[in-house]
Amino acid sequence: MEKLAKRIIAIVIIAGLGVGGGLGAWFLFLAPGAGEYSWSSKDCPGAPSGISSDQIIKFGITGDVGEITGDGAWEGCYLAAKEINEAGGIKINDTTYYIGVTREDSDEANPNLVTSRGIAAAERLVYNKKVQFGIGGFRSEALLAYQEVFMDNEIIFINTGAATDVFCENVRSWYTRYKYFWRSMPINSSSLGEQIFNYLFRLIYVLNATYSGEIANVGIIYEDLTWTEDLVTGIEYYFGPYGPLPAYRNMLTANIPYDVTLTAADMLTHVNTLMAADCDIVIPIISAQGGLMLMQHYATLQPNFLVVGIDVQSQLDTFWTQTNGDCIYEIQMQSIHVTNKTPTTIPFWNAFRAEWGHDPLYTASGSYDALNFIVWAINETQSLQAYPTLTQKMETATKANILANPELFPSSVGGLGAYWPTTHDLVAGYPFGFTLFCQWQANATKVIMPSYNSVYIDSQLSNIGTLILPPWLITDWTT
Amino acid sequence: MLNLKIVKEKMNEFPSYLKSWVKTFTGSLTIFCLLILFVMPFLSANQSFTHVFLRQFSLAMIFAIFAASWDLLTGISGQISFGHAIFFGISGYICAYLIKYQSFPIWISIIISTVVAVFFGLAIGFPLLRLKGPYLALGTLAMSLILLKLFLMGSLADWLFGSEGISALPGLAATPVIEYFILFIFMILTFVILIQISKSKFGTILKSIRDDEVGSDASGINTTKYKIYAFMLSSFFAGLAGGFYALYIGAVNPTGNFGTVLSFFAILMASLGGLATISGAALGAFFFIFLEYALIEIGVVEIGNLAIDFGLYKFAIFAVILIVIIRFAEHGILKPLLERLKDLWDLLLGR
Repeated sequence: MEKLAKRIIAIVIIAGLGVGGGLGAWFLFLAPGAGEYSWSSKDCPGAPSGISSDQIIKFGITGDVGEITGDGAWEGCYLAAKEINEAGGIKINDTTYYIGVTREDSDEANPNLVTSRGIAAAERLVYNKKVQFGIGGFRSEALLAYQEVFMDNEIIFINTGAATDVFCENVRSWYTRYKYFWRSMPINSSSLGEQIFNYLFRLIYVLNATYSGEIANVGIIYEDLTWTEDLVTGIEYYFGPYGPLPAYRNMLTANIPYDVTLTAADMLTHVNTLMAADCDIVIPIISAQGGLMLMQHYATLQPNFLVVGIDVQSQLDTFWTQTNGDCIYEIQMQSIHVTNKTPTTIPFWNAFRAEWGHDPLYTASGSYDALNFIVWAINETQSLQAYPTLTQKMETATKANILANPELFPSSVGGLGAYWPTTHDLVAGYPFGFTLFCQWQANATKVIMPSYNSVYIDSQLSNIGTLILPPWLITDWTT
Repeated sequence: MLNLKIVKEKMNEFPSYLKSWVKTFTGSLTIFCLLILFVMPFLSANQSFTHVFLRQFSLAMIFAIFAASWDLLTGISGQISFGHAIFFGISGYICAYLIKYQSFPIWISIIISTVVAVFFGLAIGFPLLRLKGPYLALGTLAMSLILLKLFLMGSLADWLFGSEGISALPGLAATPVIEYFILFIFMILTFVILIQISKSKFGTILKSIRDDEVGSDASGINTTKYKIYAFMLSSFFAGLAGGFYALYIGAVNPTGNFGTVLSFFAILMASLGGLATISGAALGAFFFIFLEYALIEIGVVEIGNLAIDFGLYKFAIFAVILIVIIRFAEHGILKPLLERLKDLWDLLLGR
């Protein structure tokens, strides 16, 4: 009897496992429409409730969820979608559409990159969520792999975070495949390098005029990653023995690449190396937590150099608190700040702060511009066809056309949004894609530095402040 | 080493051997699982199933081959490797290079890259096998880090493609379903070969070296030779997985293909399933890939006012689950799982 009871229990358990597993698999993966995402008004910030999936233009955002770059891309897109939806959406052939935004975690900020995660994120966006447009990207190595999912499916994808030149070079060299790829932020690595050089060339000139030619040595410290390669090559050339600087030949006295997984002790060694190399200016090219460590050591050791360069985390207002104020005197590049780069920059800044409670990162302004750029093309063409309709319309946003008729094109927040029609890359240089040099000063204030008209025309921008040097540096340079 | 007479005898008695194996609990369960995997691609035609869900299966199969190769080296032979990504990465790079820059056909590229991985196994195994235990583990780890750094170096970018690597590679097959079946066949072949190796005289020698190297040496076994064979065999399958992975991703780069995290994936998957079982690696790989997939799919769960984003906290949840598994199944989940299922089956049959 006991044996029979056990047997019945076994049958029940096995049947339960089989039926449960089968039903679960059916509902999750096999039933018609299973696994597919159902779009609704909850994906459309600012849109009226009850709208159907057919009324939604679907944007997918790739990025590292929980990290500042990925969150920035999401926040920028969300705000753009909200503003468009609150204004009544967009009309295509008399039908009203709303902007839907969704995101997937590509885990690309992870120093231990697992490329398959980016691929999976892109595939979920394209096949599960059936997005019509893609925005995002940050880590070049990851984006190089997962951009192919968008290209395979002929979906327009705007990169808003990776600076590596190769992405847009692909558009030129293999247009038939990569014509759907665009970059709205940042300007490419080569242009970033050029703008750093232009600024430093002027800054060093001004400082030398004040401090009797004391500034002669430059050091670079950078993440050993794809996005820094072209930039470093440019800086090595400009400040190296064969660069265009007859007066300051061979200024580069330290060149430090490092692994993004570095520790505070590693960074301490690097700072000591920079000090031993007698650097006067150190150019960081950093996107991750290395910048935080650099500035902590900088405040403690008070080395005789000024930090001027790219430190992505320093773009956020939270960096002051994170470093406990150690970031003071750092001059770093950021795409926007409270200044009139374009007429929409300050309104965007304020709206972003009101929505999210913090400053926008470069990926945020880039994504905001990217979404508005696509919506502009949709509005103008009254079409959702990626190619040729939208692509060809977007290709009309050239430097010459925008200068001739700026009112015909969308107003970007990061600079006049002009693109090279053959590479789909953001045009670099004032008043298009240009970077602002901002310095952390006392009481957690961030001030836009004069570029001495090297990168931007100082008199054309509001809120330009004054450079403040660390007192120990003034002592060193004056004695 | 290879006795043709025994092989011939085995071939002759294969049908009856297969017959008796199918009748065992393990055999019938294996056939059942393989049947499920075989019919899987035909169950649904919707895009999200074939392009997302099925692709996860393909990824799991690649990692199953990789983890099994690590299990042969460490679980069976006792040669602890913390740098198995060396073979995985080098094969991926060679495969990508041959396809992209030499226009080699995909299959020729996979074969060549796998052979190159074997030579790497030989080249690395030879000096490293003088080390034992944790020192060997550290040696392999150091070797993988050296290769990672070498491939990352900007000054060598003209030869090794820098941190950007090689991208825009063609897929392994035209559709995810064909890709799935190719990987399915290769996974079965890998497991059949590795399990047969582990059960063969050669496998017994490897196990004896693992359990008592001095004793094996004293009984006349050339332990260095067998350890090098193990390294080469293991690197063959790791290389095969590396080639497939490069084509699955469509790109190779130093961090994504040589990263230490990949070596630890192999260790984790094989250990999760059960060390020295070979087939446990498959269970571990599928569990590993689908646990992450499930956590992302679950997404945000709202309990009252509390919203938990399983996708966001997937790594933390993953770690907790792993700790629980290690606590209650320290030798992996394969054996206890099979035992529980066997108990149920016996109960069902009234045994």
